[in-house]
Amino acid sequence: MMRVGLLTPLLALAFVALALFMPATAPFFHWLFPENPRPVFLRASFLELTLAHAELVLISAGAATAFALGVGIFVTRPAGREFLPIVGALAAVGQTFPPAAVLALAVPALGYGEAPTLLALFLYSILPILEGTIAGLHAVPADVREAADGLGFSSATKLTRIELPLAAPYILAGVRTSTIIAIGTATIGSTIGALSLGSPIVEGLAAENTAYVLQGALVVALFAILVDRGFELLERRLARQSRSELPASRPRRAAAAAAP
Amino acid sequence: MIEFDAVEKFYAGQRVLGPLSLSIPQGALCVLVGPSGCGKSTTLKMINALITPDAGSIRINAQPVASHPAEELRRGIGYVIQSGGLFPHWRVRDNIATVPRLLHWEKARVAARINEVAEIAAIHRALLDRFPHQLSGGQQQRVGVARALAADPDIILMDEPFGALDPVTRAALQKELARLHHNTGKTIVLVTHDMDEALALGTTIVVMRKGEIAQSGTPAEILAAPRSDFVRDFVGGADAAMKLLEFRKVREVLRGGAESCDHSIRTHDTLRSALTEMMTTGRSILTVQNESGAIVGSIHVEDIVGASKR
Ligand SMILES: Nc1ncnc2c1ncn2[C@@H]1O[C@H](COP(=O)(O)OP(=O)(O)OP(=O)(O)O)[C@@H](O)[C@H]1O
Ligand SMILES: [Mg+2]
Repeated sequence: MMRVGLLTPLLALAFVALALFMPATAPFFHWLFPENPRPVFLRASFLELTLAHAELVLISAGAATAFALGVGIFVTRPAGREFLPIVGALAAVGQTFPPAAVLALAVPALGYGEAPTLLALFLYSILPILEGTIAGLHAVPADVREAADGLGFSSATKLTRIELPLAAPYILAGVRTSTIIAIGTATIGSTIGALSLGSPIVEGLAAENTAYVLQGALVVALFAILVDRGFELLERRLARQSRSELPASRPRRAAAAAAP
Repeated sequence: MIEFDAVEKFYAGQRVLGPLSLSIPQGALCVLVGPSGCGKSTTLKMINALITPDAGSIRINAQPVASHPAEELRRGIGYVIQSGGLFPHWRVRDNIATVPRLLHWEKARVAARINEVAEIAAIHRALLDRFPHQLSGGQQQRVGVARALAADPDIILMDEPFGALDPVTRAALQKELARLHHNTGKTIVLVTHDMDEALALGTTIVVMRKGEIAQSGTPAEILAAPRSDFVRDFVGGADAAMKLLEFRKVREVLRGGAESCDHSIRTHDTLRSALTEMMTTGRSILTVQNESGAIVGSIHVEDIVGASKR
C-alpha cells in the first residue's frame, strides 16, 4: 500500500515532465544512441501529441459508453430482451476484427486522419462496456427488483435509482477496460495520419529511429498506467459508497497498451 | 375488503391457480398457508398487480385492481418479502423512506415519519444510518416491515416474512406483528407454509392445495373440523386437538355451582392453560373465577377432553 501510494505521484510527475520537457532528454538519448543525429522527436511537441491522444480516447470512449449503456439497458428491458443474444454475438464478433483491418476498411469511406481512428476506437470500446452493463444489470438481486416493483417504482425510476447504481461497479469496470485498450490502440491511428502518441512510434519504426519509438512508448505507457490508477481509485470510492460487491477484476491491459 | 372472484392463472397452458374465490374482510389478518408450489405467492401478488389473473377479477373495496395504474395501486399497499429485499445501496432511513418519497412527501414529513415508523417496528435509532448489510436478519426484516408501513397503507401483503429467521427471532417478530395488527386494525395478508405460524397469527386462515382453497375459516374452525384428510394432516393430525385448546376459553365449558377447590383459573384463560394448571397441581377440577375474582363455577378435565374433540 505504502509503495503504491508513493509510486503513483512519481509516475504522474514523470508523465508530466516528459510531456512538457521531452527535448531536455536529448543528452540522454544521444548517449543511448550515439549514431543518431536526431535523438528526440520534434515534429510536434509531446504536449500536443498527448492532448491529441487524450482527445481521441475521450471522444471514442465517451461515445462508446453512451452507446453501450443505451444498448445494454435496452436488451435487459422486457421489450428488448429478445435482442440480447444477437447483440451479444454481434459485439463479440466486432471485437475479433483486427484494429488494423478496421482502419484499412474505414479509410476509403472516411479518408485519412482522425475520423477512421475514432471509428475504430469506438467499435473497440463497445464490447467491454456492453458486457459490464448487461452483467451489472443482471446482477441486481431478483428480490431487490421484486421489492422495487412491489413498492410502486415506475420502470424508469427503478432503473435510475436502483438498477443503474447497483450496476455501476460493473459498468465502470467495463469503461476502465475500454479506455485502457483505447489508449493503446489509438497509437495505430498514426499509421493513417492521426496525430497521437503513436506518431513518434510509427515514424521511428519507418525511419529506424529507435529513440522515437521509445519516447512514444514511454509516454503512452505512463498515460495508460495513470488512467488505470485513476479508475482504480474511482472504483474504490464507489465500492465504499455503495457497499456493493465489486465484480471480479479483469486482466490488466496497461502493460499491453504501450505496444501498437 | 379484498375479493377474489373466480380468479385463474395459467403458465404454459397449465392451470396453477383457481378458479379461486375468496373474500378477506377489512381488518383481518388473513394467512394463506399450504405446501410449496400451491399458489400462495401467486394469490398474494395478484392483490398488488405484480401478477395479473388470466380469468376472473380482484376487487379492493369494490374497486377492481385492474382499474388503477399498477404503480399507484402498489404505493397504497405495503409489501414485505422473505429476504427483506432491502435496497443494498441505501441506508436504513432511506429504505424506510422509499414510498413516502415516491409519493413526493415533503422532506420534514418524511423525516418525521421515518422516526415514527422506526419506533413502531422497534428499530433502534442507531441503526437508521447503517446499510442493510450491516444488520442482522431479524433487523433487516424489521426494516422491511417499517418500509411497508411508511406511507400508512390500509393493506399490507407479506410473503413468508419470517421464513428466513431463527425460531427465537421469528417468535418475537410474530408477537410484534400480532400487536401491530391489533393496534392499527390494518388488513394484513400473510403467506407462510408453517401451520403453527398461521395458527399463531391468523384471524382467518386459508389452507391452499394445488392452486385451490382446501378450507378457510378461523383457526378454531379449521382445527376443530378439518374438511379433508389433507387439511387434517396439514394442521398436525393428532396434535391438532392440543392446538385447538389454545383457541378455546375456560368460559366455554364452565360448570355452574361452586365446587370449592384450592386451585383456580379465570374465565378468559385458554383451555390449554387450564389443562396445564391441572397437570402441574395434580387436580382434575379447578375453581373458576371471573375477571373481578369472584368464583363463578368450576372446570372439569373431562370437559376439556370433550372440547378438544369438537
Ligand atoms: N413465472 C412462472 N412461470 C411458470 N410457472 C410459475 C411461475 N410462477 C409460478 N409458477 C408455478 O405456479 C405454481 C404456484 O407458484 P407460487 O409461487 O404461487 O407457489 P407458492 O405457494 O408461493 O410456493 P412456495 O411456498 O414454494 O413459495 C408453482 O407450481 C410454480 O411452479
Ligand atoms: Mg411463495
